[in-house]
Amino acid sequence: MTYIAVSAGRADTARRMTPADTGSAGESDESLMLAYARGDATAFERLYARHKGPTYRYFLRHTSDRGAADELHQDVWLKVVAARERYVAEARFTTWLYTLARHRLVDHWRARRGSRFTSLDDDGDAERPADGDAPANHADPLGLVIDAQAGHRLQRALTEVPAAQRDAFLLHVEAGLSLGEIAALAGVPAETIKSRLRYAYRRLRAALEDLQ
Amino acid sequence: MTEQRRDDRATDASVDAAWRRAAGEQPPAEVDAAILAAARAAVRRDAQERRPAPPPRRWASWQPLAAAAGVIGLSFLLVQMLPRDHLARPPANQDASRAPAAESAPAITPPAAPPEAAVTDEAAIMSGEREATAGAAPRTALEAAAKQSVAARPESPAAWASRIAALHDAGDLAAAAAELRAFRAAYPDADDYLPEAVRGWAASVGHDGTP
Repeated sequence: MTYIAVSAGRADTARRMTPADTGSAGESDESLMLAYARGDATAFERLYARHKGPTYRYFLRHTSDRGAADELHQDVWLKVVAARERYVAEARFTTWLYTLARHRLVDHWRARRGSRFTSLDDDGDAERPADGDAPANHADPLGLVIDAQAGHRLQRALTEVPAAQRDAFLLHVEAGLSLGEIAALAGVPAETIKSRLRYAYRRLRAALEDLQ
Repeated sequence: MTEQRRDDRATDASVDAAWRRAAGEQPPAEVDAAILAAARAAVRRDAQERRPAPPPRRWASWQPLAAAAGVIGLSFLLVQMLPRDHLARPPANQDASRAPAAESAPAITPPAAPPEAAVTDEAAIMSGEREATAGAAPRTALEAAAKQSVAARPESPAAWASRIAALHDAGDLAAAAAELRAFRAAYPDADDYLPEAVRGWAASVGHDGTP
């Protein structure tokens, strides 16, 4: 379970808050990673449980391929394991994790030369249709139907969004990174990320219009 | 106007909420298991690499001391087991330097007294041995022998015997007899060193000072 904290009028401070951030778990991602580097395997288990869904969905939404998502997700977390002793808590763990994820995704696309995607910086690319994943559980049957429809539409709409915009959206909504963090990770100005997010949200909002 | 402002925003909380409700995919259980197994294996590997070397055995720190003590003890035993003769005899070079002097010196010349500095621990050992081997010799003879031994040291038995023979041949029988008594006090087998020519006379010289 994650929470979104959005400050009024300032999108660049929008940030997904993990239970650790709220203090309910008592341990930050960084302290868990450092504990794991010192030999605490249970710290890694807690860290993985906290982030496995978002990283998996990041790859799944980018590739629309469960097999590829499985492989990329596993590769990135094995890199985390391998890099445990080199990890320095200078930045947020999430930023470091998604830097690894993004590099792995670019390598994946480069290896598949037939793919249309070779860069996450190209705002003009579009992706193949989504395969439509199951929505989350819902107590209300009507809400379940609406959520399922919304989920399908959002996923389908996201596949039609250029890769760079989709990447900015996923890093924001799944990884919980701020505009500044996404800009630093992508190596572009914050205004560029802001523009990419604005276009991505416009497309997704349009996909939901007749459901609201 | 409101719609336009909404479009200008970079993010949209309603879209985020709809996204999170719809997107709940998780990695397959086998992928989770593989990742966690790799993470635990890495920790075990680290623990093995970081495991400190076993502490040295308690007695290991005493090994050098024990070895040194053993070497010292063995050396002491070897010194104790060496034959005493070589301690009683003066150094060969001193013998060699004295022998020509004894030959060139007149027979009646008393042995030169060595400088005080020449009185060493070795002399003390020699005098102690001589006292111990003097056996039943009279006290006066022992004292004279001791004095003579210190004075004559480090004259060799052969040189001493030659000097006694020279005194005898020169006709100074009293001096020859005194030397012979001192010689006997210093060397129990003194008569064996005497030339054949004086052994008859030496037999007539008693151990108690009477000719």
